[in-house]
Amino acid sequence: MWQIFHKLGSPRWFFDIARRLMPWLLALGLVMSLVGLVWGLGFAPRDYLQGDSYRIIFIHVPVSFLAQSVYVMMAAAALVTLVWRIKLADMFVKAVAPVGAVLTFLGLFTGAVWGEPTWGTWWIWDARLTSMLILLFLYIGAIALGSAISDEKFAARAVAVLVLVGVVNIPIIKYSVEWWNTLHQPATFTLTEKPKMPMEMWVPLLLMVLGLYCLFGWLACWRLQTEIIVRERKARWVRDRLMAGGRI
Amino acid sequence: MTPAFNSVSAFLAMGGYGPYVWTCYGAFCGCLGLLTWLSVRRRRAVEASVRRLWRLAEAGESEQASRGESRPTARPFRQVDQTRP
Repeated sequence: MWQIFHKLGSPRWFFDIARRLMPWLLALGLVMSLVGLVWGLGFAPRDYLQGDSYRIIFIHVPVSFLAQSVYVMMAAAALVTLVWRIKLADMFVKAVAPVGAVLTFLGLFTGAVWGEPTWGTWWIWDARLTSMLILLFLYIGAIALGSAISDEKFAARAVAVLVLVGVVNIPIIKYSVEWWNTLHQPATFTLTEKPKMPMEMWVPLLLMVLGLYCLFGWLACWRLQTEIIVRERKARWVRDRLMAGGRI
Repeated sequence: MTPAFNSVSAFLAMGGYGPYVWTCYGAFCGCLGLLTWLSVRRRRAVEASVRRLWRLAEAGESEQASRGESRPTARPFRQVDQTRP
């Protein structure tokens, strides 16, 4: 078990696993999200109360959901960085932080555009909205801290501590709609209950969520590979593959 | 499965919510597209600069070897860090 763990932490081993996985992630992600997009935009029934403005849900929920998942993944990697000092975990944090920041921004942006016709305001200091804004600042803080420290190992530990402290925000986001009386509606996805929306709306939404997860997986692999090339630039295997030309 | 709209113009109008819906979908595609494009561009830049530095290092190595000097320095590799955006 420990051998597998350390093998997984080997940049070269991961590089090749990622290369084999990536075409599948990309194909699956594109198919699912395209089907979900077309279905949600053109075929899902109109909402009786919100009309067609509700169609924003097909991107708002997946990006917000993924923004939080990415943070949890980053926190797990940060813990591995601090406890086992596995380089790959630190590279992962560095590779996905900008992706998480973009997703959080998109969640806030689409929420604001949706809120304008639905709530009558694009922004309100509501618990859910504020905690998502804090998530965006945590992502930006992790990126800024990482690039402000030139010593690679020190930067890795500092960022890992920041990411781990920030993880307290995740349950706050999740339960904000239950703990406080917010303008934001409660959770769209729950594992314990049947979905409250009709299947014709719920299935495309689920496809968008799963598709976006796969696309994130692809982008994370791609960015992590880039990070590996930078950090392992002096390694013989990187040299041999780069000099051979073609795809590394 | 039946379409929710009768015509293309109705689809684009989104029941009067067109600007809101299309702004969101535009931002979604735009932001993720830009992120992907930047990631691909950075990868290419990193590959090119590591390749160049290896070439530099090896050219230095063979030059030093011909002059009978010892191991080359790895200094050119530090420049890779500067390719980060």
